[in-house]
Amino acid sequence: MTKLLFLAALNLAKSPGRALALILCIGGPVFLFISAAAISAGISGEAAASIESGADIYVTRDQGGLDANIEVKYVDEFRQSMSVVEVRPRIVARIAPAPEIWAVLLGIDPLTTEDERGLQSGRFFRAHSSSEVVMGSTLANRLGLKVGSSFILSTRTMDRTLKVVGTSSKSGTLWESSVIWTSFSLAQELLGMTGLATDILIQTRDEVMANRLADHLARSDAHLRVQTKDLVRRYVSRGYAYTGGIFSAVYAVALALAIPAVLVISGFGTRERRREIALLKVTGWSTTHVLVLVTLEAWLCSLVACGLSFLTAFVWVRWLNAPLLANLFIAELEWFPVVEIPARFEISTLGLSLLVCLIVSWTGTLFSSWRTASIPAAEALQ
Amino acid sequence: MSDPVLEASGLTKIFGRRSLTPLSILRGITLKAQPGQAIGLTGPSGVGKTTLLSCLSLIDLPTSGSLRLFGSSTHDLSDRARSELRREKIGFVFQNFQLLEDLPTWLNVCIGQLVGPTPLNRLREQALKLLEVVGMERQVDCAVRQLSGGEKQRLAYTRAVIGSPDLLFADEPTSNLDTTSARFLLNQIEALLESDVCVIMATHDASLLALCDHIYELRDGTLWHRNDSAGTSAICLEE
Ligand SMILES: Nc1ncnc2c1ncn2[C@@H]1O[C@H](COP(=O)(O)OP(=O)(O)O)[C@@H](O)[C@H]1O
Ligand SMILES: [Mg+2]
Repeated sequence: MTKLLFLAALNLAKSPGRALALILCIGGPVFLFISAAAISAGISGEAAASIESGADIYVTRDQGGLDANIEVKYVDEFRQSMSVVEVRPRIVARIAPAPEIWAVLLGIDPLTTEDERGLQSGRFFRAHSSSEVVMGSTLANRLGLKVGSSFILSTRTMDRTLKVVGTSSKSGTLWESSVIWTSFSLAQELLGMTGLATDILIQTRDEVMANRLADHLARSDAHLRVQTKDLVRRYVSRGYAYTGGIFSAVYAVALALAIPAVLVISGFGTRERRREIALLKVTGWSTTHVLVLVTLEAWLCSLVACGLSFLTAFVWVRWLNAPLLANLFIAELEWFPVVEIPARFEISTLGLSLLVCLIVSWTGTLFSSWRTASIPAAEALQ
Repeated sequence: MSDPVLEASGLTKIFGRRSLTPLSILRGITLKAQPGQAIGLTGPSGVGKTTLLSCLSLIDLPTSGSLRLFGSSTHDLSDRARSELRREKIGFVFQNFQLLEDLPTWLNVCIGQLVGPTPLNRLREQALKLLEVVGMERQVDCAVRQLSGGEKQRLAYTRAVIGSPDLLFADEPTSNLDTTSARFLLNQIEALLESDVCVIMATHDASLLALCDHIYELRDGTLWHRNDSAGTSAICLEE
């Protein structure tokens, strides 16, 4: 076996061009796969974390099955309910603080337990301030703003001069990094949403209580849409399964293209390759021996391809922040993302991609080699 | 007399059997060879000598007929058993060398033995020893494509004998050699014959033919024995 491994390595080394082409051909799709898997895992990890740290119940108004703004008057009503710890109205909207730069306007008052030390710098806005905001650090950088600087935000209803009093943490989530966080009342003003909120967040004592309360609310008022943490969790994971599905389809195509490429490059049916195999047979190799050699060659290539892909993906996503790639997974991201792309490289991804590599290279080479090895050597030597 | 190394009877080979113009190259070959015997095959080019050698050496499959090697039928040998026979008992020197051009010389010599039990360093030693015998010790690590025609021929010979075969086929082994190399090969084959190896060669080289116990001419797909004394008069073996 070591002798065959030696010959396989030598065969690859003696035609470096072919080996390189093979490696690229196998490694290309695998690079995509590893990067994509890492970014997906990173994003869904972040989403999961923010769901867990978020509220237990989200209430909006029902408008033909869709979420609509809810009247703030419900806040007091919900506060009366049993086992409620905290009720906060929230406004979430998409705004453009500068041309072509999108951000999330988040209007919610901080919890009394929330700590300013969670910020990267500065402090929280004052409760009823009509100009103070906390800004995601990445967004602040892009707009060239620091703690203490002012800027003008134009919305549909007004232009308002706002002042950055704090920036959110550097290690924050993707979402946090492009947020403009204001008090609830300021957000209401900015968007002209008097008396309205995007949704109302309810914190309960525990999840069982939350589910019970959610049931109760949904039954007591047909105009409300009530979503529990549990439900959101499921939506989110289904969302990822969906993008995952699209990605798999794209990936399957890439793979399907890789196999014939491997076939061609590995010298499928080429005279030279046929002659080589026939010669081995003539000198006393059995078909099995030939197949073992071909397998070893394919697997050596795969190992190298897989290792290189993993390294490249790591550098590409972690160090270079996934240029040209992240925007396939995250909406409204530029080709060269400014925000830090969340990524999680898992050992199972590496394992899976190695498996895929092995199968691709194998499928690409085994059959043709077997065909050549099983006809009489004299024919293949022609 | 000892058992024959090779016994062929009624071997036929038809190329393009399913095509419109099938080519019947061998039409009933009968041949017997004993250990230590040398058998020469002659005949004009294109008559089927290479085809016959291929069929006899398990490199090609005859269309019909029976072939016994070392006392047992080769008809229903498994792929594995055929490979083992080729590796351990049969050597073949091709007319056009058939070497792996990109691999180093020594590896070409022991390429077949890579799938045998001998470890790699031992195989290399064996190859070095044999290459020394044929005067190629300086080309041991050269890629084959850098060798001259004569060197390739010597290499092809070395590869054929590394497994100490009992049956050696040689397809026009001296056609690419200068006279000194040809004489050298002649001596090698003589030595093989003395150690009871059976050698079957297709050749027109008079000095090689002089070594042969039997000389056959391949004509119209059958073998005609060349009677030394009669010279031209031929006997069809089947009669
Ligand atoms: N695989 C093949 N398919 C078709 N024709 C073949 C094949 N191999 C050899 N031939 C033909 O068989 C004839 C005999 O070839 P060969 O055995 O090489 O002759 P020789 O060695 O006597 O010169 C030639 O005419 C050649 O074209
Ligand atoms: Mg010939």
